[in-house]
Amino acid sequence: MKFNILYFVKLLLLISVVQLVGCAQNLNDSAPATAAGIAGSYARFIIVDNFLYIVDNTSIQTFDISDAEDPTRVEQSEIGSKIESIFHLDGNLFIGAGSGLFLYSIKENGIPEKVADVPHNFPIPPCDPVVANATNAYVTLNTSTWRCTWCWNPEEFNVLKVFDINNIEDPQLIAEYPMENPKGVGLDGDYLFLCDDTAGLKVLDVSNPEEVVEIHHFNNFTAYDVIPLGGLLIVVGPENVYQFDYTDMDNMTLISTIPIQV
Amino acid sequence: MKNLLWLLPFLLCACLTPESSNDFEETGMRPIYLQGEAWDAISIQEAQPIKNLGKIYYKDNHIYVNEVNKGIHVIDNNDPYNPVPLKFIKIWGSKDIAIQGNILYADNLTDLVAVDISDLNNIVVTKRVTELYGLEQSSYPENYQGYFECVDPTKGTVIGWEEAELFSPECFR
Repeated sequence: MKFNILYFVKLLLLISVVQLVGCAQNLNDSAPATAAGIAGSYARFIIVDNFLYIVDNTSIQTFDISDAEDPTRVEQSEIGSKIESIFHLDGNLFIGAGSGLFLYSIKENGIPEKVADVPHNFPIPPCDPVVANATNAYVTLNTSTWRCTWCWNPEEFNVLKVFDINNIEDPQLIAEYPMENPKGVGLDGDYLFLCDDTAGLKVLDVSNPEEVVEIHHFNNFTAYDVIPLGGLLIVVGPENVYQFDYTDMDNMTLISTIPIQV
Repeated sequence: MKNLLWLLPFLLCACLTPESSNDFEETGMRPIYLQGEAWDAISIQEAQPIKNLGKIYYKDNHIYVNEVNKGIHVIDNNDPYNPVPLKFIKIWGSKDIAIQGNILYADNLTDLVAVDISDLNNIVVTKRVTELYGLEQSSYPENYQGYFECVDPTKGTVIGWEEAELFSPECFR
């Protein structure tokens, strides 16, 4: 019961933050002002307060950056294999790996401690960025990024998985949605931005995570990763860096592109 | 075990096949070498086109785009309708970005570097932490299974891997 109240309070806080962000007039002012910046969903570096967390293929390292100019390694621990990305929310680290989703809680001294892991149970390791809010974690799995020239891939696994994380120590898979080749994801309030590779950018209303609704689908470009900034969306693909204005979600529009020269 | 003995002649046969008939062409990974330049030299350059898109980062109305294994593009995004490429920070082997205040953290091959970017015309490396990553990358391509061209250390420092048509590659994992 104590846990439920705690998460309810966190949810209220989150909602108020999202509302504050949503009220901002200027597109650029909408991004939250923090000492650290905001990473895409493939990040392997993440800053939480005075600590920088770095994941490599198999482990996580903690750096004390209370003096930003002088990062100092304070810990390194093994996690698993095929680590892809790291995401932070409310003192919890979500680590996406080919072998599963790992949840770590940051202790008072800044050192992360494992609280749960959810194996994917797939015969071949997929690739998976992850984002989360107070109640749910969203994980994309795709098989195409894993480069294997001689493996026989018995099946393709291209899905968006939704976990209930109200009990962080026991995440429950509550829904799965088939995708083409899902890659980067970003979350802003009730909206999940999903890059589905050549199938383009999808905007999903996740207010009911068990019944996610697609509200926009931009399928005229290839999308790899996103950063939502409370009204401004940065999207990258092999051809361009795109920026969308979604201050009015019904009229989400492309406002600029930066070309990529192949 | 006994039942498998019938396989033996076939196995022996495979070993005795003349080498010439083993020549083959195969798509695999090839090391990218850095020669005649220090891999740990970090410098600022004029803005250049994005070619091999890596990860992205956003901070204080600036977009940071990783050029895989080569460095970081800095784009002024004060007007999102009209983003302006500013500079390129050359960091060999770089794949990731994080920024706290005016300090940018990046991976420089095996090391972690902290770079003061408050003046983009005069960036300063304030700290280098060695052995952020192991040396695996310089001996084989990570997250990859299949054939690859064996590393020849006399050709320079391996700063990354690229896909290529390989002729009878001897290394695989």
